[in-house]
Amino acid sequence: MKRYIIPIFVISILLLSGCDNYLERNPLDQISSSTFWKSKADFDMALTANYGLNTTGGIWSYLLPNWDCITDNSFGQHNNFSSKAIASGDISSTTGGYISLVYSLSYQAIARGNIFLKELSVYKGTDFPDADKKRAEAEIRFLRAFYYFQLYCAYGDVPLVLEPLTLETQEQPKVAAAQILAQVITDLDFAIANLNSVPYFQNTGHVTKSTAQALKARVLIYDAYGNSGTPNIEKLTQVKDLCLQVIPQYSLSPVFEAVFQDKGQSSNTEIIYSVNYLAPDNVPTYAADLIYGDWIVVSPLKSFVNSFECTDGLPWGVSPLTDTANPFSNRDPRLSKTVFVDHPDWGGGNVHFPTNSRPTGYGLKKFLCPENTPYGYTTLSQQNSVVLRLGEVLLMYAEAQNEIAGPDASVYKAITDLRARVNMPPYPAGLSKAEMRERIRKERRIELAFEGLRYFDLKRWHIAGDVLNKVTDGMLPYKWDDKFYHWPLPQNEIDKNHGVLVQNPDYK
Amino acid sequence: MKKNLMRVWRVNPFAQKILLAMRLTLFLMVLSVFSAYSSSYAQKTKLNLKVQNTQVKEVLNQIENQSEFFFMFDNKQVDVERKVNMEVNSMNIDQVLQKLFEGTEVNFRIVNRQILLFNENTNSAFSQQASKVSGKVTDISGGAIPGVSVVIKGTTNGTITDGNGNYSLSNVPENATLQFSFVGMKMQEVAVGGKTNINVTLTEDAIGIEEVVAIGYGTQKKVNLTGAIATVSGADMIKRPVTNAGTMIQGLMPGVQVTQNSGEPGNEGVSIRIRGTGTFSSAGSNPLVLIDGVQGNLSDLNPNNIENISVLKDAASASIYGARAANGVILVTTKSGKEGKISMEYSGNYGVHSATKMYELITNSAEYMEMFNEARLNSGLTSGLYSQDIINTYRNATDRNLYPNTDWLDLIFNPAPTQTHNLSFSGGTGGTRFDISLGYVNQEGIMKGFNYEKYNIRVNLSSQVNDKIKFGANFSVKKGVKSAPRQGAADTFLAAMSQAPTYSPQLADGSGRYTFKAYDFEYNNKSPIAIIDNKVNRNTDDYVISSQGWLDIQLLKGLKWYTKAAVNLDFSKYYDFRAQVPLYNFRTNAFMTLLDVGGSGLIVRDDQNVYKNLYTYLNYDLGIGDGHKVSAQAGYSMEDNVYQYLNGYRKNYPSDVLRQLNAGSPSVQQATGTQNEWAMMSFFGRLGYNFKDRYLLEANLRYDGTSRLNPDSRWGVFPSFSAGWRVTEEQFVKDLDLSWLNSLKIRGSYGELGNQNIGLYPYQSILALTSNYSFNDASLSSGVAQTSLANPNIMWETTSILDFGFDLTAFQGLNVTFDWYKKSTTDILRGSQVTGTVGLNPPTVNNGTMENSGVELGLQYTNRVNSGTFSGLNYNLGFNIDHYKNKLVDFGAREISGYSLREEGYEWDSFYMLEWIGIFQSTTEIANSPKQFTDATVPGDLKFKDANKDGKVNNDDRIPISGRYPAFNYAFNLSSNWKGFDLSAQFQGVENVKYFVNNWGTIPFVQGSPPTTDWRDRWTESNPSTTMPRMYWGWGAPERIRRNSSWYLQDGSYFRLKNLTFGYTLPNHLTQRAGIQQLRLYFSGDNLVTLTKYPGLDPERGGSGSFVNYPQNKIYSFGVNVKF
Repeated sequence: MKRYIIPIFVISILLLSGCDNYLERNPLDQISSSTFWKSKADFDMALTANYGLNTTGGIWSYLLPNWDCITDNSFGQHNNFSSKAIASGDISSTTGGYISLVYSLSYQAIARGNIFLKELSVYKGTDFPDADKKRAEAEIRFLRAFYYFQLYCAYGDVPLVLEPLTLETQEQPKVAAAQILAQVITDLDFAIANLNSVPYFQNTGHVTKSTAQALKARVLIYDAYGNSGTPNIEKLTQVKDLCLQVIPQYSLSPVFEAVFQDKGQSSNTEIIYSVNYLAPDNVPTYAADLIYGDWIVVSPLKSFVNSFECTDGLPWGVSPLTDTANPFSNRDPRLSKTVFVDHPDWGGGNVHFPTNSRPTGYGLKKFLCPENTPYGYTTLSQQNSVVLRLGEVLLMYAEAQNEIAGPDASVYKAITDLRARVNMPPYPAGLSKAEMRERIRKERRIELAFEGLRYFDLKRWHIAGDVLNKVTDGMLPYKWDDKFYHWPLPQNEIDKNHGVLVQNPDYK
Repeated sequence: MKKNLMRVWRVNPFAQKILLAMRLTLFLMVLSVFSAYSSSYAQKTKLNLKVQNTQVKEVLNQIENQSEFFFMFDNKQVDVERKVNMEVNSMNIDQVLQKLFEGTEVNFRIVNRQILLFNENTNSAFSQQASKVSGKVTDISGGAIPGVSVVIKGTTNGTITDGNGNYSLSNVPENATLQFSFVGMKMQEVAVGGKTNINVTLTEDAIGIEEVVAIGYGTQKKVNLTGAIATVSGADMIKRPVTNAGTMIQGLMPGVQVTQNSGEPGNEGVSIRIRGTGTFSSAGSNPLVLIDGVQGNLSDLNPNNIENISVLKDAASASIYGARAANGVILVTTKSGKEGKISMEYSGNYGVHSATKMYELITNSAEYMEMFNEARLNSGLTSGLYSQDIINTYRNATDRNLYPNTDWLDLIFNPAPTQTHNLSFSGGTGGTRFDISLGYVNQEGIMKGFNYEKYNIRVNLSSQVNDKIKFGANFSVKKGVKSAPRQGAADTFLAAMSQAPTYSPQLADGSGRYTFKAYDFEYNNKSPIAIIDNKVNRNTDDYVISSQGWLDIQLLKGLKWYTKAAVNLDFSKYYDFRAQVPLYNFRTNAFMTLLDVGGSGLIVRDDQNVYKNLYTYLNYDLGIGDGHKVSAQAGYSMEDNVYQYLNGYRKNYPSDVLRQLNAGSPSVQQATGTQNEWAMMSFFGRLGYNFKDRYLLEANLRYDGTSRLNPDSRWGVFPSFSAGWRVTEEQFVKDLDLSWLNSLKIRGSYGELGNQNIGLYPYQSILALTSNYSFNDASLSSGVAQTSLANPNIMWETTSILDFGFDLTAFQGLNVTFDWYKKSTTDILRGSQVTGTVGLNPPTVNNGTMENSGVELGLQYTNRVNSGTFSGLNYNLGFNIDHYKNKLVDFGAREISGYSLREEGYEWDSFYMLEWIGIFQSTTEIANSPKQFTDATVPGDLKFKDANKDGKVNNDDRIPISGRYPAFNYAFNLSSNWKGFDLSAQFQGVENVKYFVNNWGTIPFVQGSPPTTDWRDRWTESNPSTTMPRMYWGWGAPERIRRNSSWYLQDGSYFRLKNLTFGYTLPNHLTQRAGIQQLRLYFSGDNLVTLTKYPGLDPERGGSGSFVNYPQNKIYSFGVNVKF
C-alpha cells in the first residue's frame, strides 16, 4: 500500500491541475465585446444606450434647472456642480463641478457615439437596410453635435475627437473653437438631411429633422453674437429660416405647465426634443419632484420673481395692479406656475412641506407634478426633461427677425402667440428695435426660466458682466470676470495629457 | 506511538526518564481531576490473556495492544526478561498485574491509562533513614496538576501525581532533593530535609522551549522561526467583554493595527491592518484570515472557540499563501479536544454598555432659538426667524409638554445590556477527540433600534484509524440576527442631531402621532424616533456554515501526507420595509408630510456565497546526522467562489403589518439578481534547513493561477527566503557563561507576495447592459454600451517585504522581539489615468508603487514573587509599539479629491487643504491680510494662511498636512494572579493621527441641528474668541467657513484603559464538593478611561468623514467561568 501512496498523490494532483478550464470564469451578466455588433438588434440596443446616457448624468436633463444657479435667476444652496463657487467667481481649473463635468460627460457621450459610428461603418449584415443605417447615423451625429456644442459654449477650444480613442491615442491637442463649431454644423446638416421629416411628437421619441433644425438654430443664434455681442445678420438669417421650417410643424401646448408635467407630455405638440423617463425602472434616484419640491436644490431669487409683469403687461411696482401684500396676485400667470412661496400648493389641500432650507423663501415649481405629492424618495418622477420646444423657437425667430428687419408683424405675432397662451397681453405697438430686443430678452428669461438657457443667453448677448455683477440678493457675492466667457480646461486633464493639451491662456 | 515510548524508555532509561514523564504528561494534561474517574478506565477495561513461557515484556506488549494502557518502567528495576505462564479471562488490569508480578518485588501504580512499574525495595539501599513523603502539586491558581513527574534527584526513583495532584513517594532519604517537572512548567527542586509533606506550586515556563506556533500549512517551534510572526492565545483575547473576535486582538501584537469603527452591535466595522496600508488598488489592504487553514471571517467566530492566533507579518512567513497574502495572514486555530476525561465548561457574562462620550447640545429651546436667529442673520438670511414672542413663550412656559426642551440624543441613547453564554464539552477517548461548543450573544444597542443576536455552534472532531492514519472534521454554524434602522447608525444619529428642542417626537395631545416640526421654517432630517418606533428597518439574518474534513497519513518515517477539503456557505437575507408614517405639526396637530423613509415598499434580498477549497501537501523531515536537519513540504491547492443574489421589490403595501412580498400590490415591482465567480489554483512548497538549532534557513515558494487574469499572465511566482542565527547556541557564547542571557536569535527575511482581490474580470473586454431608454414613454428599451477600455495584459501586483529582527530572552522572564521592515508594493493594479477625451472608464493597468517602512518592538516580562507578603504572586508585564511611514513612490499625475492628495513623495491620501491660522479680530486685520477668495470677510471669520505668499488666499494655497496615518500605535498589558485573585489591564493608544470631520456637530444648524455647547464661546463683538469663529447657519453658511481647512482637522491621538479585569477563583476544596473543578467570578470593564484631545465622541474611528459616528461602548460587565 505504502509504495502506491506517493504515485497516487502525484497523479491526483496532476489530474486536478489538468483541468485547466477550472480557471476559465467569465462574466455571467455582461456581454463580451467579441459577440456584440453582430445584428441590427445589437445596433438598436447600442443606439438606445446613446439616448439613455443623458438620463443618468442629469446635467442636460432633469438637472437642467440647476444651470440657472450660476445666473441671476436662482441660488443653489447645495452647491451642486460647484454653482456657488462659479457664481461667486471662484473659477479655476480645479473648481470642479460644471467646470470639469461638462468636459468629461460630453466626451463620454461623444465616445459612445464614435464607437457606434465606427462599428456601423464596418457592419455588413443584410438585416440593416442602408436607409435605416443612415438614419441611425444621423441620430448619433445629432447627439454628437449636441455635446460638441456644450463643449464649444463652455471652453471654446477643445480636442476634436471623431474616432474611438485608445490608450495610445488618448492624448489629444485642442483645436480652434471654429473647427468645433464647423463639426457641429456638419453633423447637424447630416442629421437634417437624413432624419425622418415627421414632427418629433409623431416619431416615437427619436429625434427628427425638425429637432436637428431647432438645435442648429440654437447653435447659430449663439454663434451669431460672436465675441462682441453684436449680431451677425447673415447667421441670424439662417436662424430665421430654420425657425420658419420648424414652426409650422408644431403648435403651442394650450396649457403652459403641461409641457413639463408628466400628464401633459405624451404627444405634446410643442415638444421638439425631450429626455424621457419611465417609472418605475427608469427614473433618477433623486428626481425632479424630490430635489426641487423637497430639497429646494434651486431657490429662485427675489429679483427674478420681481421681473414678472403684472397681468396688464406693466412691470411689477409700476403697474397699478401691484399688490405688495399679495405679491403673486395680478401677476403674469407664469410666475405662480414657475415659483412657489414656502411650499408647493396645488389646491384642494394638495400641499407639500419641504424638509430642506428655503434660503430665499422661494422654490421651483415649474417641473413638479401635482400627482406626486408628498415629494420624497418614494416619488417616482417620470416627467420628461424638455430640451427643445416650440416656445424657444418662437423666441429665437422673434429675436432673429427683430435684428434682421426690426419689430415687424411676424415678430409681434410670435411673441403674442406665446403670451396669449398665458393670457398676457401683447406688447404695445410701435416698439423700437432696441425696445423690442429688451422685451424679447426679458420674455426669454420668463418663458424659458430654469430650462438651462439663461447662462448661455447672458454669454451670447455679452451682458453677463452687466447683469451678474449687479446681483445683490444672490445669497453670496456674485462676481463675473470677462475671462469666464471661456472656462479653464479641468486641471486633471491638463495633467494627464502631459503637455499635449494646453490650458486656456486666461487661466495659465 | 506507545511502542516508541517503550523503546526510548528501555534503550536509555536513566537520562530519558524525565523527558518521558514530560511526554506522558502531555497526554495527562487535561485528564480527569476526579480520582473516581482515573480508575474508571482501569475498572471498565477487561483483559484476556493466554501466554505460555512468555517474557514479561511480551505480556506487557499484549496488554498494550488490546487496551489503551501503557507501561513505564526501568528495566533495571523490573525484570522483564522473566518468563511466565498465565491465563486470565475478563479480568481488571490490577488483578492481571497482581498475578503477573506475584512473588516479585515489583509494584505498580495505575494512573488513568499509564501504569508505572517499580521495585519496592530497590531504593531502600540508598538510605537507612528513608521515609515516606507525600503532598500535592498545584498551579498558581490552586488547581491540582495531575501527571507531574516527582523524582528523587540523582535517582530513577519517582512517581507521578494522581488526578487530584497528590503524590506519595516511599523510601525518600532525608537528605534527598525532589524534582517536580511538568511540560510547560518550570521544574522545581525541593530539599526534603526530613519533611513528610511537601506541597509544590508549579509556574508556567515563560521561555516556552517547546512552544509551538501555527505557520502556513503546519506548525513550527517558536525558537526555530525565521519569519516575523506574532501570536496571541484565545485565553488572552477573551478577557475583553466584547463580542467581535476582530476587536479582541487590538493592542495585543505589535504591527497589527486594529480599529473598531463603531460600537454598533453586529456591525463594528473592525479594520485590521498589518504593517499599514499596503496598496491603493481596489484589491484593498485587508489581511487574509484563515480559520483552521480555510478562508473565513473573524467576526463570524465564537471567540471562545479560538485556541490561538498567529499573524504572519513578513513575506517569509506569508509567502506560502502567495497571491492572497500581500496584506499579511491571520491564522486562527480553533480548539480541539484532548485525550482524557470529558470536561464541561460554562462561561457567562452580563455587561452594561454605554457611550464612551456623548455630544453636549443646546437643548434649551429659548437658547436654541436665539442662536438660530443669530446664525441666520450672520448668514444674511433675514426670513424664517423665531419671533421674540415665541422665544419668550418657550422661556417662560410652565407646561413643558407644550413648550418642551427636548434632548433628542437622550431619547435615543440609553445604557444597554449585553449577555453572552458559552457552553463547551471537550475530551477524547480511544483516539477520538472532540470539542463541541455552543455560544449565544444578545447585544442591545445603546442606540435605540439596534440589536444583535448571534448563535454559534462548533463541532471539532478528530480520530485515529490506526497509528498511521488520522482524520477529522470541523463544522461550525453561525447565525446572526441583526435589526437596525435601514439607513444605519450614522444616519439615525445625524437625524437625531438635526432635531430642534422645540418639539417632542410625538404630539402633545397624547394621540401617539409623530411630529414633523413646531414651526414651518424649522429644518430637520427625518425623525429618528418615528423611524425606530415604526421599525423602518433593514433586518438581516446571516448564516455562515463552515465545514471541513481532513486526513493525515504517516506514509513513511518522517513523511506525512495531509489533505483538507472545505466548503464554506454564507447565506444572508434581509427585509427592508419602509412604512408610510404621517407626520404632524407639533403645535397645530395638522398633517404635514410623510416620514422620509427613502421610498416606500419592501425589498427582500437573498445573498449567497459558496466557497470551496481543497488542499493537500506532503511533509518530509530528515535528520542527516551530525546536527543537520532538513524539512521539505510540497503541496497543491484549488479553490473557487460563487456569489449570487436575488432581489425582489414591491412598492405599494396596504398596511405596514404584513411585511412579505406577496402582501404587496404587484402594480410596481422589480426583480434583480446575478451571479459571479472566481477560481484559483496553486502549488506551494517549503524547504527548511537547520544545523544544530544554531543556523536556520528556510525558503518558500508559491505558484498561483487565477481566473481573474488573462490566461497568458494568470500564473505568478511568489518566493521568499529567510535565515536565523541562534547566537546563544554558539559554543563561544555558551563559554561566556552569561547567566542573564537565555536566548538570542537574529533573523532576516525577504520575499514577494501578491494581492488577488483585483476585481473579478478586470482583463476582459465587456459591454455593459446600461442606459436603458424609453422612446415612446410606454415601454423600456434595453441599452448596451462599452463603458470601459479593456487591458488584457495585466499581471499580479507584487508586494515585497524585507525584514530584519531579533528575539531575545533574558533574566529568565524577559522576552524582547524587534523587527524592522520595508514593504513595497509595485505594479499596483489600478484604473489607468485615462484622459477625458477617451470618454470611457479607464482600464486596469499595473502602474504605481507604494511603500511602508517601519519598526516594531514587543516586550514581555514574566516573574513570580517567591518571598515576602506577596509570595506566590505571578505577574506578566507587556509593552508593544509600532511605527510605520507610508509613501507613494510612483503614481503618475497627481490627483486631488476633496481634501485628499495623491502625489508622489507624499503619504497616500495626504490631507490637502487650507491651513487655518486664526480668527480675524478686526476689519483692520482683514484689510491688512491677503484677500481670501472673493469672500466678504468680516471679523470672527476663519483666517487662512497664504501658503504660496502671492498676496491672496485661494485654492492654490492648499497644502499637504500629515496625519493620515498615526506616528505610532502602542499598548501596555499587565496580568497577575495571587492566591486565586487575578487582575489584568490593557492600555492602548494611538499617537499623532488626524481626522477631517465635518457636518452635523461641527458647524451648527446643519439641517437645523442644535449647536454643541462650546458654541456658547463663539466669536462675537464682545467675546473675541480665537478658537471658535462667528456662528453661521449650517449648509446655508457662506463658503468662507465651510471650505476644507485645517479648522476641521482634529487630533485623534488617544491613550485609553482598554480593559480592566479582576477575577477570583474559589479555592478548589470548596468547589470540588459541588463537583466543580474550577469556579471563577470576575469583573471586566472596557474603555473605562480615555485620554484624548479629540473633540468628538470617540477618537477611535474608522477615518475621516462625518463627525457623527455610532459611539464606542464603555462596558461594565460581570462574568463567571465554571469548569466541571
